[in-house]
Amino acid sequence: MKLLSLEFFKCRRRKIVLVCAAVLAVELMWMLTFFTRQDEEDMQWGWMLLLYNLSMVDAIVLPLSVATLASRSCELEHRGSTWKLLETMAAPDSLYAAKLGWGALVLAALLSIRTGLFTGLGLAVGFPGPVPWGRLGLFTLVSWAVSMMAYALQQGLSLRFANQAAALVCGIAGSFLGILSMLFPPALTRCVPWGYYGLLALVGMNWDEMTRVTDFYWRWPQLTDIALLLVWGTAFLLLGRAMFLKKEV
Amino acid sequence: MLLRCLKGELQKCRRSPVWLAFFVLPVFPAILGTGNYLANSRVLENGWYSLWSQHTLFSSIFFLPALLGVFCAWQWRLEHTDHNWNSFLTAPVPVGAQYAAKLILAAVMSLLAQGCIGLLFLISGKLAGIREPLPPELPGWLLWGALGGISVCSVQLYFSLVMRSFAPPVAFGLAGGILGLMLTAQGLGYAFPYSLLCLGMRANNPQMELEPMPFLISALAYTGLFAAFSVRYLRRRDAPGE
Repeated sequence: MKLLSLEFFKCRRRKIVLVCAAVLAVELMWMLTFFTRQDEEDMQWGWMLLLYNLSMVDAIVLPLSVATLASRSCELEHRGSTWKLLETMAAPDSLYAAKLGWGALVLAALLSIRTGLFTGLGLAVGFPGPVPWGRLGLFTLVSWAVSMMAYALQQGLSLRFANQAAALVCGIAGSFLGILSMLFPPALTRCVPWGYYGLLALVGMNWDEMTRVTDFYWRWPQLTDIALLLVWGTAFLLLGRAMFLKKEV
Repeated sequence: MLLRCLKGELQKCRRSPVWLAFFVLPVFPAILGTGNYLANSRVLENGWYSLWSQHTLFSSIFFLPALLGVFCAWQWRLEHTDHNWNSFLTAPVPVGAQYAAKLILAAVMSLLAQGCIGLLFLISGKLAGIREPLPPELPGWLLWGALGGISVCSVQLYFSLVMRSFAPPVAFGLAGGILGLMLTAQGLGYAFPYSLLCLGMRANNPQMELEPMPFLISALAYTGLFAAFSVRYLRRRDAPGE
């Protein structure tokens, strides 16, 4: 607990709020631009249209954002050469857990604010039907879970390599593979960690090639996909932790 | 003097795997663009031109600004670490020349990235079974794109110099690319450096039009302005204490 609170102290001048605000601003601008281009008929899909597009925007924006947050938290230890000092006072696995806990809390705050912001946007625009609170809550949880899996991977890389280029290039590749995997068949998407933003989306889309009419429907994430997400997350966590514990200081 | 600095910068790049990203990452937008083209081949009837629209949409918005951002951040990272600022600022050459060497190297990377995109475009077109002759405008699209990329490099070099951290400038690069597309759609593309990349490569531009003069003026102005900011910063700021 003490180590976790120390993580927040360390990051107090790391402009984390600014990074999170930039992520929110990009997502908000994207969605606003998207909604201004929709006609009356499309806007009738309201909340479904919002959640469908938000999962796509997540797949593009969040992998690099998660990489940035993980890098901000881990880079300071490399730059300050603090490992020797830290590991004389605390066990390496507690340090690893504290950094992961910091990421979990920051991402939870970021994604909760994001959901609040878009719920407000939906109400302001006047989407038809009642607010799907349950779906919005579940969507936040899914985005957080997938982001945490990516965070475990990014933290492992950011701690292992002092040069943050490796972690950031992985984040950029994640952003690409995230959106690219939406074109893959589901079996292949399951092999791409960042593809789970699309795979666990709560809204599906049907496009009729003949009439060129699009319609949306609610869907539930499959249990297999949730289990696979847990497997990916655990694998990244254990691998990253093992690499960190073996690191010579 | 500049040549010596350039030689020095090239030596710093030795054995660094950063160039690998410029060869590996363009493959993703190429696959994505070709997949999109094949999936919508009934609507996209314009052969090479349609394929180019699909390739550039993803590469110029998401991937190129962030990738150029990585290279620029990496260039300054060398100076930010291990007290290298001391040797950088006391080197017997003007800081302007040292900065220019970094910008030239980034410009070469921008050109290299465009070369890679062009090559992948040709391979994708052949694999997608396009039989029409190659568009003669392709070298122009790539060169104008590289020119837009140089403006992005100048801005990214400034951010990475001032922020002294690796990740945020790269994230701003991605944000800049997305914002660039939005501003281009609003008709304000020539006024924003990240839009120049989309405009130069004719991304999201079915008519493949470009107004050369406003483009050149904007590209030169942004490159010059941010280069001047960077040199001013280098001249005025002392080496940071670690």
